[in-house]
Amino acid sequence: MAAESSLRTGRKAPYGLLSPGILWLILFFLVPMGSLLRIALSEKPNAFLPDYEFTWKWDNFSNAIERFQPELARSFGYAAAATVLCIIIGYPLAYYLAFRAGRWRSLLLALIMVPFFTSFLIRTIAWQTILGADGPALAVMEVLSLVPVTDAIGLTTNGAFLNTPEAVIGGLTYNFAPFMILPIYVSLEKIDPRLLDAARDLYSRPSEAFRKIILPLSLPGVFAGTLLTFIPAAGDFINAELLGNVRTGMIGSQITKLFLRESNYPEAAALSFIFMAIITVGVLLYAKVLGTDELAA
Amino acid sequence: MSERPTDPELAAAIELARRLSRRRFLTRAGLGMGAVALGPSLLAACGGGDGDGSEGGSAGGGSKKLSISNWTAYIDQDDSGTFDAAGTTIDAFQKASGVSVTYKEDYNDNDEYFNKFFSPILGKGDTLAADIVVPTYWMAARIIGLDWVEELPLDDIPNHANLLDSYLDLAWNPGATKHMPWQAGITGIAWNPTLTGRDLTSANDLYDEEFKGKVTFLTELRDSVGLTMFGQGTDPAAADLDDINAALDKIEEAASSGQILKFTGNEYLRSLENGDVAACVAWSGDIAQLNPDLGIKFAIPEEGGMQWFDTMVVPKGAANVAAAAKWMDFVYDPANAARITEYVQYLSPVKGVREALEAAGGDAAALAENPLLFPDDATSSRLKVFGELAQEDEIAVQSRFNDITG
Repeated sequence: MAAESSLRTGRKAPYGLLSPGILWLILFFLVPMGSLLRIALSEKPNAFLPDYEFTWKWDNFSNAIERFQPELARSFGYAAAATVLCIIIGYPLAYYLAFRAGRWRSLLLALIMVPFFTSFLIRTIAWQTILGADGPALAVMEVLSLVPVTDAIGLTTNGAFLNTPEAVIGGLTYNFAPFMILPIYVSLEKIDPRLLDAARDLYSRPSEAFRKIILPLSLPGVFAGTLLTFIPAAGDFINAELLGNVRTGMIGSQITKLFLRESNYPEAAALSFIFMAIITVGVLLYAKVLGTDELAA
Repeated sequence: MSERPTDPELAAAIELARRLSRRRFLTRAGLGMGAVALGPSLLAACGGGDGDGSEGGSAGGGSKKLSISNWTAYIDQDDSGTFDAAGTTIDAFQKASGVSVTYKEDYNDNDEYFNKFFSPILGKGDTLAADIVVPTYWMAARIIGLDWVEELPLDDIPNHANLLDSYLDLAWNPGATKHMPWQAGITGIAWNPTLTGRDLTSANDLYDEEFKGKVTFLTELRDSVGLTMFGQGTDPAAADLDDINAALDKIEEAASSGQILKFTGNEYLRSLENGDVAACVAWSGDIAQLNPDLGIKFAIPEEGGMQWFDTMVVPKGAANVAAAAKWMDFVYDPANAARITEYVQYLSPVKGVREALEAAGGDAAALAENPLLFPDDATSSRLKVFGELAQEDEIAVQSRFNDITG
């Protein structure tokens, strides 16, 4: 008897420990989601008045998809490009920090973080100045007479860096790179150096040791970094607004417009749901491909 | 007045940039502004400028307090951005009337304010904290039509007689009994002569392929569509739906071909200053604020320009209607109106401002000769206010325009 009852309390304890989290989840995630879904299925009989009617209007979803297909595609395309760039830039950097930086490590880590003490917006507006017609980036290219080359490879359009899709992707990469670097750094830093010693003892070439030991062990970091980069980048619209042009609008600004310009709350809510659904499916697929169960172990 | 970015932090950052450029110009123009004080203006830009001035005797009568929500940089203030510093209009009003004013620059965007405040609050029969709000004319027409605005006690506003006659015969409120215009402005074309290599004269010059990818339009529907309609020879004041759609066709094609770089709010000033943009749709007062050294030019196209105005309304159920009336009467005194004009450099709707500026002499008198502040009859005849749209049409046009602006 005594053993059974202690087992029972033992089973309940985890739920007790979880309750603050569950409460938080219900209050600040499920309840808002529910009301958002309700709005997404509602109708606003008069756009200027605040009242809704809940009518199971699934049309909101099909209308939103039909109308905002280009922006949806663009959001995920730009976010994917920025994420890949973040990995390309971030992985070697994190590798250097973890294995080679030595006593400079803390300083270099701090240097990665320091720019991010400034507001996201201020940093993005600064890129307008850097990339602008009067800015240093173009000046350097002009001195080197490289503008036709950058035009040819698509880095600039008509001799301008600013207000191009490339500038938007660049801005996203810049703004989210630390969220890629830090998780990769943490996973690399955890790797036991004796594993590498063992690989060397067993006559493994460095490239092989990297491929068979370091890379697999750092994948959880890459996975976490990808999520931390891709999801906010896809939802971001500041970079598109400040660094892009009329043909680079992303989904965030469309949702804002639906809410604040057209008073079309139902369609805005539907579009938010579609966006979340695509991200959720994408993340699940990604986790499956990368095999998170194995990674977690 | 104009469309502002919807993000408050972004708005604050841009406002900071605007304040600095504005101060630079005012200092140059010798209007008695002191040295640039970055710190306080940064704080003012971020803090939204609320809470200035003492609250005074809070229990004293219904009309000892007044709360105003206005656009940014739209009233005279001192260098640190204090609205009721000695010598300002608000300070003079507080002393003359005994009313304590809470002045906020939190009206950033017509649509945003409508969807955050007017519709959810006034639409449910509740009352706003502000006693006076200053929407643009078409938004004022909309909320007056929805009956969300108080009738003005004109008997307590003798200076209402100073309102320019042209504002009295508007279809949505004949006699201006529910609103009093604050400032007006002109939407025309601005260009950077070093990039265009010539002066622009026509609204169609914005569609000149020579400037491909170096042209911006405004996200304000009526400004961008109105100017395009002038170029097409149609009448924005008539607001015929077919004409509007024809203009939207033209804008859409220019946007997808890359002729139009982007649609902006106030940010266009930066692009114009930096040389990223050669020509754009622009607001008259903004160009007056730019550093003259840049050589940026502004013109009303030969086919015509858009006129707009922002106007004071008292939201339904406001607590301090009597104090609001006192304020309106005060700022419609030509001397007070002239002080505001001198600072904001937009068109004043008040009779006698020009004479008051001339009488003041010096730099103020020079403003009295500025054709963008006091257009002559020939110019005035080329200016039109965008016509009224039925609700369904307005929503349809706005949503099509939103799709084009990306």
